[in-house]
Amino acid sequence: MAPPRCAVVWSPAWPLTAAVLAGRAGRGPQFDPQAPLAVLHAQRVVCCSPAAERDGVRAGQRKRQAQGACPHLVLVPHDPDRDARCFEPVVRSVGSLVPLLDVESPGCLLMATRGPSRYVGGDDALAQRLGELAVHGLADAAVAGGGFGVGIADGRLAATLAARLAVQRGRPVVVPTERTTEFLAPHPVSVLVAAAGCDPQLVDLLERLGLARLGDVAALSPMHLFDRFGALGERLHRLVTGADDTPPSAAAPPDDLSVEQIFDDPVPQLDMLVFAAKALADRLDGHLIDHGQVCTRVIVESESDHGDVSRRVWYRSEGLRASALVDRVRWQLDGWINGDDPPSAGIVLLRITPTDVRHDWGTQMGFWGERSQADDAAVKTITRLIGLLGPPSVDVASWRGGRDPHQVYELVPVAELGADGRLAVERPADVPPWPGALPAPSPSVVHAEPIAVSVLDQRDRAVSVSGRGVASAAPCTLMLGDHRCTVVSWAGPWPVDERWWDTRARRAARFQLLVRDGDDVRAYLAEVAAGRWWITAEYQ
Amino acid sequence: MSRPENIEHLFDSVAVMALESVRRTLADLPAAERQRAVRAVVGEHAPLTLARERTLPVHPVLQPLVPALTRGHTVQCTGTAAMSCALALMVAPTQGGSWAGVVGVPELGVAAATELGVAVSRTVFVSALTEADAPNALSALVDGVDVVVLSRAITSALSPSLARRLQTRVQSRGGVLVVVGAAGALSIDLQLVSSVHEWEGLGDGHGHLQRRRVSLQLDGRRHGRTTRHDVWLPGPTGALEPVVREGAVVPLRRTG
Repeated sequence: MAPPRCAVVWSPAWPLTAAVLAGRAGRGPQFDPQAPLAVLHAQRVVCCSPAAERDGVRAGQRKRQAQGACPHLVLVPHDPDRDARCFEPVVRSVGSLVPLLDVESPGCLLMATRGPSRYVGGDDALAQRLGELAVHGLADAAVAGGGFGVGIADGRLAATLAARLAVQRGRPVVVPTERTTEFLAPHPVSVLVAAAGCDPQLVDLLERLGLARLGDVAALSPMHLFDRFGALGERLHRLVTGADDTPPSAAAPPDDLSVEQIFDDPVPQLDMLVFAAKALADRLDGHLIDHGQVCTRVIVESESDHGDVSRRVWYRSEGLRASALVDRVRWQLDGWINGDDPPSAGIVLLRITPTDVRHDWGTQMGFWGERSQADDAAVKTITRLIGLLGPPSVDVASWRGGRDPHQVYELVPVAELGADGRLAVERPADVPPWPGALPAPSPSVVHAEPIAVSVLDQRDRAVSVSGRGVASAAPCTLMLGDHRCTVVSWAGPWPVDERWWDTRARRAARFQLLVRDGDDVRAYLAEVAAGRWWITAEYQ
Repeated sequence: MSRPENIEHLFDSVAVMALESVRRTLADLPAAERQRAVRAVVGEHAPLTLARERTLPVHPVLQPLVPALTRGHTVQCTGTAAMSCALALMVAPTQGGSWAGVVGVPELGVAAATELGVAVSRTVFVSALTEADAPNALSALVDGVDVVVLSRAITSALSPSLARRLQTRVQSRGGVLVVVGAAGALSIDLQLVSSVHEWEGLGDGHGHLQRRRVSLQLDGRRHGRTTRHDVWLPGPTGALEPVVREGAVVPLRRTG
């Protein structure tokens, strides 16, 4: 399947541009676009102005390195909401030519070129026009950053990379269809993180495997990639060969997936709308989760009482979960309601319609699977506990299988289970029972160290089990230290003869003993090995 | 130290955003009007807690005994089936999506827990806890999980002040503390005393332990009167099962 031809309009330093614009509009501190500016998030530079770049500041640097390189660097706060709000005019301006737009993130627009390109008269003309429209959308063109880059190529990845190249060159880049693979090949694999939403760990692994460029990965056979990385490998192959990133299972969703909220009283406040959006997003996402799906593209529509409409398409390659959906709705409504052209009345309708839905293959899921708020809190707690107590002391149970209660589940330190891949803790449903395992119910107390006891028969002689697995006499008394308990009933011996072929060989016989201790009745699991009795577990 | 994180616990981002905008709006108002505006806003946005959100679910078989666990309470399990009782209390919350933390109970039988129905994929085990670590680790755990199971080894080492702080935290966070065995300095809201009636299935050299009839007794200062209830804990599959009373036997009547 030939990938659709896409155009990407991208501004690498959008957060800075947004900060300057917001300052000019009196919605935040003023910044001089000529001064060395940098936006920081999590102590790292997200983007910087040309003046800062001249002094040696680079995206991805630590704050201290950046300040070392440029001591008079002005730090701009990171604020995705501001970025999204200020991007709205650009979206509207480009939208006047191309109505069907995907807003990938504030600062990045993606659209299919098929219709618009024919309308304008070719890809080159379209690229030129898009660049003009994007700049035209800004109230004040002379702002920081390298402006907009426009790239046109086959598929999302190639178009995104072309847009990056366009920013460096300062003019639009159009990659002809037949040269897509050739265009992709020399790029380093690290571009996959930003441009295709791949896991940084995957990129790291590829680099360590000696696959430094996209061309190296493309040279591998798809079977090898699939063997090594599973579904991810398949996607990787499609990415690097320039095929479409839209997975084959992407299907047009049935109509009933769209969720909407109609307000009887028009709602002017953003906060209340966002609350409503949260409920809608939860409903939509819950429905998709039930079907093992995730949406990658949604249309968010809202309508005011006077019929003003705001309609945006949002795309995210790793899927839009409820919280991401709410963010998109908030960005869109914030840009509309608090923007230059606000609706003339309160909002009466809010609708989210997923247009691309794919199977949730789980590669982007965390270690804990599908997360709820409780899961997030628990993961936070576990991380905190590991920090407090050290990695080995926080455990989760992991099914191993075995004949004895202490073998069936093992407590494994959380830290030992890598951060990716789901942990199969519970017993898989399709595993047949272990031969020689004890029947249910299992003992609720399993002693880490077995307790030495003695078991006596009617004449107070120790009960023994012969090599053929026959008890010398019926157990009558259980001696817990000096404490004497009467055996009410018992069963056994059930022999275990494990690992007879190596040094960890274990030959033992197990008994269940029901004893009376005063008024209490207690049930024990006892084991006799080499003539000595142990209590290994208790049915407490 | 971790102040922003605590605040994050209390509000989700949406709520914080709402708060932020309210704060901005209020700052613009003259002082005389501000107070009235605050009243109006608080009335509109005060968190509404439903009764069912203040409790944790209980296994259906135990519901005749206790319909639900009230969040913030401390439950003590004692008697000969104490561990099974604690596990039985974990079943419904963990299946319902809550997390459980088990502290200082390395001997807990995980196989028995899964047979009872505890979702062990949502259970964290903290096996060793030194006295110095206990305050921080316990409060961290209480912050993040709904059910915290403590053993005697942990409760006996709690000082009265730490116990009080821990319980206040549980109340504010809305979790439930389950204590297996002696409660030490913790004050107990509910006490679940278990005594074994009979074990079935084990003979004289034959059979195997199949099911146990346990008589449960619930009392405590948060429980009006003492209630009793018999259950199979565990039943033949290891799960909780209700004791079904057979109907009265009607003798056959001679006819003709």
